[in-house]
Amino acid sequence: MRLRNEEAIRTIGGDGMNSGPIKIMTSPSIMLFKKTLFKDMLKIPKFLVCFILMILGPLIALLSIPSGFELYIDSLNDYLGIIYSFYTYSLMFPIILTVIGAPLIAEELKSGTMLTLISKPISRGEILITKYLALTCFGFLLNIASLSFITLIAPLKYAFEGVAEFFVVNLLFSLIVQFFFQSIAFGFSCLFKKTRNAILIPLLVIIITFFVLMTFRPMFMFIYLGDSEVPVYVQFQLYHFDLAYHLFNAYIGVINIISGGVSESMLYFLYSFGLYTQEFDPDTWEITFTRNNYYSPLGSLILMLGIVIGLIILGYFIFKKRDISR
Amino acid sequence: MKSIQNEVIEEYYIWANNLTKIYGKGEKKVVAVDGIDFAMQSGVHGFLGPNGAGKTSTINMLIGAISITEGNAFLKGKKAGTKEARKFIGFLPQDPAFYEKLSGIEYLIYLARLNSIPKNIAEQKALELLKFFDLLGDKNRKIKTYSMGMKQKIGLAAGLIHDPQLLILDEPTSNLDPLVRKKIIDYVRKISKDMSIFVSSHVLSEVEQMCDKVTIINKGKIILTDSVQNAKNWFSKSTNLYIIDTNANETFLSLIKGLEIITNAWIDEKDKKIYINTLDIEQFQKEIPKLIIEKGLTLKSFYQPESSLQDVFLDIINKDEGNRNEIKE
Repeated sequence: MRLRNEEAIRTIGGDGMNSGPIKIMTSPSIMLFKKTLFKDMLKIPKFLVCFILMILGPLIALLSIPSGFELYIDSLNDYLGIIYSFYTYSLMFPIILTVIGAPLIAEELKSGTMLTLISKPISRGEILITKYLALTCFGFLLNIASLSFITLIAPLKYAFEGVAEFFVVNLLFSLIVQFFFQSIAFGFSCLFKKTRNAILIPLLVIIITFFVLMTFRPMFMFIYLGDSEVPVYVQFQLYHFDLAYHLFNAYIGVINIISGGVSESMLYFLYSFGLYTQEFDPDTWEITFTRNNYYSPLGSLILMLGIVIGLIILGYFIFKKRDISR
Repeated sequence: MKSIQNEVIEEYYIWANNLTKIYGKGEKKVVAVDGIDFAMQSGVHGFLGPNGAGKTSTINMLIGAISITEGNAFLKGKKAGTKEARKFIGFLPQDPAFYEKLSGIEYLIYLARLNSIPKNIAEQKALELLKFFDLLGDKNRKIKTYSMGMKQKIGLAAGLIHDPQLLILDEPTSNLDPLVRKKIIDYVRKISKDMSIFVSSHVLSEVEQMCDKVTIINKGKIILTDSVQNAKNWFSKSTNLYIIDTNANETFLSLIKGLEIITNAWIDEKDKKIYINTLDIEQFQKEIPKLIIEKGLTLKSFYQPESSLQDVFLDIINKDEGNRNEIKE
């Protein structure tokens, strides 16, 4: 038996395929990318479940408008913006990215297939970048599909205004959310060998960020210790690690750029993330919201970027140094 | 310009110098591989040692799966663990893991493509290998439905898909039933006509069947590197074992036990023959037949047995353990 195909070896031999300015575009990386994206992630049942989860909340909100009903809010972003930015982008999208992204490295380490993979002429750095890019494509496709679907069917149900504005605001915000949460999921995937741990910790971050802090934040904003005139929330600078604050601060930044300002209907919602303070006038029964400027939207973006880059670099070095065996 | 040392290293498929792997730190420190030096030229090279000897750690350092604590290793002159070194090796890990949702042919094509083989050639090679390993009929079945033997065959095929110059097999027959084990050994022997193979095992008879050369490792240290035949010859000489059969073995045993040239003598429980270790072969060959005739006994057989690799292995390991204990004391 002669297994060697001399022609093939000549075609693939030497450094030809692995030299050049863009190392990631070598054939092994492309193969790994295709396999990760198409064989592991973009399977029809998996994609469909994720798609349904993404659109479920907004779809219910749309379908709940009775026919012939005169809506007080007719801007699509004002009507669906809160649901979309909270249900879809703060809840479902991060959870999906975590569940899909966290096992990418951890699962291969646990099952032992990583040993086969690293015995091939592909560096550990290329493995990480390729899988990260595959996760980015998956998240982007899922997001575009669900956002497009809602944007297209919303005007069919009601004559909404600002449909394009809704699409652009949410697309830009989703990119921030995706980059942030997929990086967290991926970073933890590199840190842990057990898939369970790699999934659980980013999920805990989501739960703490969007449920625990959201529940207790208004309370902290009203509690004053001793004679202090500064509420606990500010005094202990919770906002420094309050990810939801920074995420929605960036959301305000996006709305400011696209729509020129936050609408009144969103103020209650943004207040719950610590971005506004509330004052109630008992005489007039009026509530006044004042913007907190602990951080500028750009400052929040930079801080989130710092967290993400730090986590990815840590994950990269741990994965690079990790002893891989069965 | 290449140095003379580099040129020498390039001649070897594997060249390891003071290769060391230490797991953990402080009190939890475990020396898995203890500064081993060895070199492998072409052919089939066995890497033999009991469980926990450091075989898998050595192999994992060679492919770059685990870091090298100290020393260095080269595969055909390329630093072990680098992309350049991995280009020309095929690898079958111990208890290999597979992408079980892929079919046999998809898996082979995927691994071929990871080695930058063009798609049409990858398909052709995958089919060739599936045929060679008698898996052509199961090519479209998902790997998760394969039996252990089939999985081991697809693992071997995966190691061969890019025509490596060196195939590294880590315990390729472990966890397999005897029938499949024999098949795998036959495949390895067939493959060995086309490429060099480095195969680790703790099953001595298999190494004896597959390999030209053998390196024996115990507790992270290399004890012997030689051809299988030389190792066996060395053992026969070093132990100087003779087997004698007479019509009255027990009487004869009592006669020879006091002789100076005999270090040890006993009757084997199975074949009831006399086994004798001697220090002076020449004197032994002269004296013993003469003594048998003098005492009026009948000599049925008198020979030096051919030792198996198993004898070599056990003897070396026992001596090594003995030496270590002496040093400790």
